[in-house]
Amino acid sequence: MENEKKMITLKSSDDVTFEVEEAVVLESQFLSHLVQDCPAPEHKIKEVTGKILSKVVEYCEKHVVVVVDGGDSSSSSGDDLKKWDDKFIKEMDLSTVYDLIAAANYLNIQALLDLMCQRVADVITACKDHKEIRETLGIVSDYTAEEEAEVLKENEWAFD
Amino acid sequence: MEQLVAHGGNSTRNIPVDLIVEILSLLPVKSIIRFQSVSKQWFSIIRSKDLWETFLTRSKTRPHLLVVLEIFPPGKLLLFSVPEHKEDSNDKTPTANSRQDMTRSKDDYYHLSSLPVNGFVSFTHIFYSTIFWNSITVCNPITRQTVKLPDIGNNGRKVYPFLGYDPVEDQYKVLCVMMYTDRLDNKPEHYVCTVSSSEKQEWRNIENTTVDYDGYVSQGICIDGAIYYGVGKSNIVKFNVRFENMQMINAPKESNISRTCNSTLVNYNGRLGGVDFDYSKQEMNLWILEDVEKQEWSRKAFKYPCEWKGFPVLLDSN
Repeated sequence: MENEKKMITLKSSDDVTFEVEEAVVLESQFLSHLVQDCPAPEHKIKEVTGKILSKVVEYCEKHVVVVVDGGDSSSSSGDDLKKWDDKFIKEMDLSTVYDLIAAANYLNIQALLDLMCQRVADVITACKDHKEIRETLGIVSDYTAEEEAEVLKENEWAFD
Repeated sequence: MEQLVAHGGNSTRNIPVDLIVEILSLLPVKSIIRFQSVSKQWFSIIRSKDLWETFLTRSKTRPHLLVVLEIFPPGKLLLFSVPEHKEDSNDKTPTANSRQDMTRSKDDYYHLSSLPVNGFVSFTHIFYSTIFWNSITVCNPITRQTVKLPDIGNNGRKVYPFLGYDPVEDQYKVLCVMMYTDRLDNKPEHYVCTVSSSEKQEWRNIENTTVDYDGYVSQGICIDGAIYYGVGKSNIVKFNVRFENMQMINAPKESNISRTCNSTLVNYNGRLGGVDFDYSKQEMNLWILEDVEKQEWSRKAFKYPCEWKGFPVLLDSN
């Protein structure tokens, strides 16, 4: 016997609405507290845009733990989920990744946050030196040429 | 909140500093060190305690062995970091995933003088030109953090340095035991130096009235704020790194764990343990200090593989 699933509407900063099952919302620590404390049918999330919220919802729907008959909990099998995650992040540009990090941090969805941080870490790893990191991540160096040379020198193996 | 502002594409993105710490902690340590040159902000994040604490916590979930090869001549030291367990279980051969060469002039050499503590080890620098001074350096081979301690005059005595960490005050200290090994008057003297890269370091003599020993001093190990090292035939000294006091622990009578050869002290799930060999029975014993106050030890015996038969088994982590 399956109970009627409780649906909750999330509204982004730019008023895009998403109707999701309560279980999906519970993936977010922030939203589960919000839903418990204030049982309204619709919640506005001012800090997240529709574009990013749709990604968050997509992720949470995939990762939600499904309770099947007999009380066993199961989510999609680990391997499938990992493949799905890989595809999910591969298609994403870095600016979306940054927005998702901010959103996952705000909504407190640890697994999504970990996934996105790993993605940025992978991007950094793929860079061959500090100059490429600056270019890729758009970081403006505040070192003078002398300071930079000094830091690079300090990194040499101290015992030599 | 202080934020990293990155200009990705046309828009300005902010990632809070604590998340930058999180991201950097996912990278291999060797890379992180190199990335200090990205910007001043990265420099300060990479030098911050936050990052290393995050990294250390994560690193402890995937323990690595430190393998040190000392090659003479020319006084070359090779350090390898080897994962204890390979992620891909089909491949049983562990491979060193980082290697550091330490090559210096041929007139002197460094000797690894402690077991690793949170990734730090201590080296004793021995000058061939003089036997009266010893220089001790504490370093993290991976991060290349290096702190040299003040030279210590030994007057011809043998120097046994032990690296310890006090988790309460978050301080590293080196305990130095000095004693003559070739005279009747071989009472040990104890000196302590707090490791610091910013403050003046000095050796302090430790007044010791509780512990009396002579003769052998074995390797030491630091567990949960205490340094343990074997002395004499059947004793172990416990040095409290925070309060800098000493206590004598009796090693189990039937064991050899306080002696240098054929035995080693180990960290057994946060408790002091010792491994020794019984050649007549072809057994290896694991001794575990169950209760420090009551000085109660438990023992687990293992038959060692028949392939080892005939080989002298020397365990010495120094």
